[in-house]
Amino acid sequence: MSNYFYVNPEQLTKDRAEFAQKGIARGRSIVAAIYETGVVMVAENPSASLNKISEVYDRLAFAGVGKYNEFDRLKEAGIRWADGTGYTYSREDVDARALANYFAQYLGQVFSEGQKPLEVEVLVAQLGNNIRPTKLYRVGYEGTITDEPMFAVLGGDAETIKGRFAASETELKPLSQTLKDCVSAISGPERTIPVSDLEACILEDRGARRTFIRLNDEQVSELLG
Amino acid sequence: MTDTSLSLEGKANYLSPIIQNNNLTTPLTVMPLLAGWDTSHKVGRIFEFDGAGGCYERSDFATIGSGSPFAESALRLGFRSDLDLEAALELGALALYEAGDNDPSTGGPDFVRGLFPMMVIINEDGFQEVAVDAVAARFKTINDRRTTSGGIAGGTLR
Repeated sequence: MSNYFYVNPEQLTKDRAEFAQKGIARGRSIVAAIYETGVVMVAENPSASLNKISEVYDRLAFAGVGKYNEFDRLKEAGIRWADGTGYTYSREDVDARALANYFAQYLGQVFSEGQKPLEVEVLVAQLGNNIRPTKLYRVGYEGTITDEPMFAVLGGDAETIKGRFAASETELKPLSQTLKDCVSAISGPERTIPVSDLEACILEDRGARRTFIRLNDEQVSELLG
Repeated sequence: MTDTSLSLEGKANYLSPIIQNNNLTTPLTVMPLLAGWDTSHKVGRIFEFDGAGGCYERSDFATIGSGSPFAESALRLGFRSDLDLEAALELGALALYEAGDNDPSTGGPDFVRGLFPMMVIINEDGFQEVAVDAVAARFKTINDRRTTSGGIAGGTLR
């Protein structure tokens, strides 16, 4: 016979949240912002192959911070979900809010029932069209969804970066300006991140079904001027 | 599963496996036709299905049922892409009259019992059934015309 000790759920939740926050704070932040004709996502990422930002579907992108293996699994699940939904119903039925909800349900369940919460925070970005609006949804480690109006910041340093960004962002700007704002918000005033350490992706219409574009170093340097 | 209402195309695709499953597992074969107003593209769309559940979008018109070859013939002769509502209702009624006249298994209008085909209009405002009196009058006109021309269209499609 085993003994179960009573654990105060409030304490348990607090402990788990603290654990997750600690894990997320270890990694570097990601900034996503809406610009005039699309959405831009920027991450500080020295690796060129272990991506933090990726395409999910025609008009959807995913970005994750925290433990790589954990958000990478979420990303794959999200891509499979989007693919399945688009195949079962129609491509236009694949929607960012539903995908964010899918992530939130899973994260929420793992947070309260799992051995340990996932140490991740993810972002679902959607490029709008005549059917849907351009959207940024941030999903926290405990499964909370936040609808970010103009820009979203993920990661441990979020509040500081958000403060830097908020000052510069009041209306939609062209891509080059928005990208500059994103990069300076991530790096802060006393640091410059080399272009090779930046991972920048955009969602933009180019007359085709797919809208996701991963910007290479040359394109980023050119845009940053 | 999405948490917003499904698009018309999504509904058409969702119907496919349902038909396939039904037709493979029961002896009661169904061949539906799906027509609707696509709210996201602001256009009317028609989808037809084969017995195995294959979904095909039609850009003009579609017919199903035993009398469909006859109805299809009438539609093929009379269809124009710029048909207005009145002309489309008239052509639809005529196609169904042809089917009823030629195919023993198709009902057609029954003036004795006052039974008439159902006609509906689907547009931006939704799904609306045409009043029975209006349908009856329409079939009566066609029937009277055919009575004087010896049961055939008699030169023009009418």
